[in-house]
Amino acid sequence: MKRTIIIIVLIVAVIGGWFGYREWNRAHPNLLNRSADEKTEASALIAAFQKDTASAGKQFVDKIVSVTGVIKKIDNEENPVVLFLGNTSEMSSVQCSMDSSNREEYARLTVGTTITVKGICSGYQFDELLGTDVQLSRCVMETKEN
Amino acid sequence: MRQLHLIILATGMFVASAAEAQTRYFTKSGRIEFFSKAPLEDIEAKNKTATAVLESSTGALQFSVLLKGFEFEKALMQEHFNENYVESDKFPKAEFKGSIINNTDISYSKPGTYNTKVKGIFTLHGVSKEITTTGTLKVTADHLRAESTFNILLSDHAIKLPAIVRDKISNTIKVVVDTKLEPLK
Repeated sequence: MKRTIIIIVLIVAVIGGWFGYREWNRAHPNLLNRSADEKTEASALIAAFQKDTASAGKQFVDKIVSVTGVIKKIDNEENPVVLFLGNTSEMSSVQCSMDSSNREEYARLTVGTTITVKGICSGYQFDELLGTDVQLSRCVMETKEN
Repeated sequence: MRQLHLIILATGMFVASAAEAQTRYFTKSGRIEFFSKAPLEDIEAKNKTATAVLESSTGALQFSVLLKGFEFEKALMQEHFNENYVESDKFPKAEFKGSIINNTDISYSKPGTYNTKVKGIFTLHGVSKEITTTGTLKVTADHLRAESTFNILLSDHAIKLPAIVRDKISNTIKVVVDTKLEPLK
C-alpha cells in the first residue's frame, strides 16, 4: 500500500516536472502555421485606431492580424527588419517588426512592393507630429507582388 | 561683378536658412533593449519600434515604446512580463520626456560624435520618476544616431515581484537605447 502511494507520488512529480519544464521553455508560435484572427488593409487598420482606439484595441490587440499594404520604408539595419506599410503622403503607418529567423529574405524587400504580412498586434501610438502608428510584432510574410 | 556677389550672398542665405529650419529629427524604429541578470534566469528583451523626436534647437527629447512590442526568447517570460509585471493592458507604454541638458555643446551641422547629458521624466507602469543619464549623439550629413544606457529600478515604478521569485529576479534593469533619427520634413 505504502509502496503504491510512493510510486503514484513519483509518477505525478515526474509528469508535473515534465509539463513545468515544457511550459518554462515554451517557444513562441510560428505564425506561418497559424491562421489570422483578423484580415485587413494597412490604411483600414490605421483608420480603425484613429476612429475609436478602444474598439480597435479590443478587435486587434494581442490578435494575429494579417495586413496588406504598400511598403513605404524599410529599416533593415540590424535585427529585426522593420517594414513600414501605408501611404507615403502621410506620417501614419503600420510598423511590422519582422520575425528574426528570416532576416535575409526580409532585408531584400523593396519599397513600393505590395505585401501581406501576418503578425501579433501590440497596439498603437499617436503623436501630433508623427501621426498614428499601429505596430505588429513577430511578423511573417504571406504574399508579395511587385 | 556686383550682381554675382549678390547672387552668391542670396544663395548663401538661402542655404543657411534651409539648414536652420531643419530642427526636428525623429524615428519610428528605435531600438530599445533591456537586460536583467539574476540567479534564476537572465532576462533579455528587444523592441525595435520605439518612436522618438528630438528638437535640435532646444534639445527637447522624447521617447515612447509599446510594452507589448518587447520580444523575449521564451513565450512564458513575455506573458509574465506583460500580465504580472508591467500590466501592459492597463499601462501600454513606457515614455521618456526630457532634454539634452548640454545641447549647446552639440553642433548639429558639424559631423562628429558628441557626449550628451540627458535629464527627464521616465514613466513606466503608470509611475513617473526623474532620471539623469549620459549618452552619445553622432551627427552625420543626413541623420543623427542617439545612444544611451541607463539603469532603472522596478521598485521605483511600483512593479511588484511575487514573493516566490523576489530573491531570484533582479530589481535593477539595464536599459539600452539606440536610435537613428532622421530629419522630420
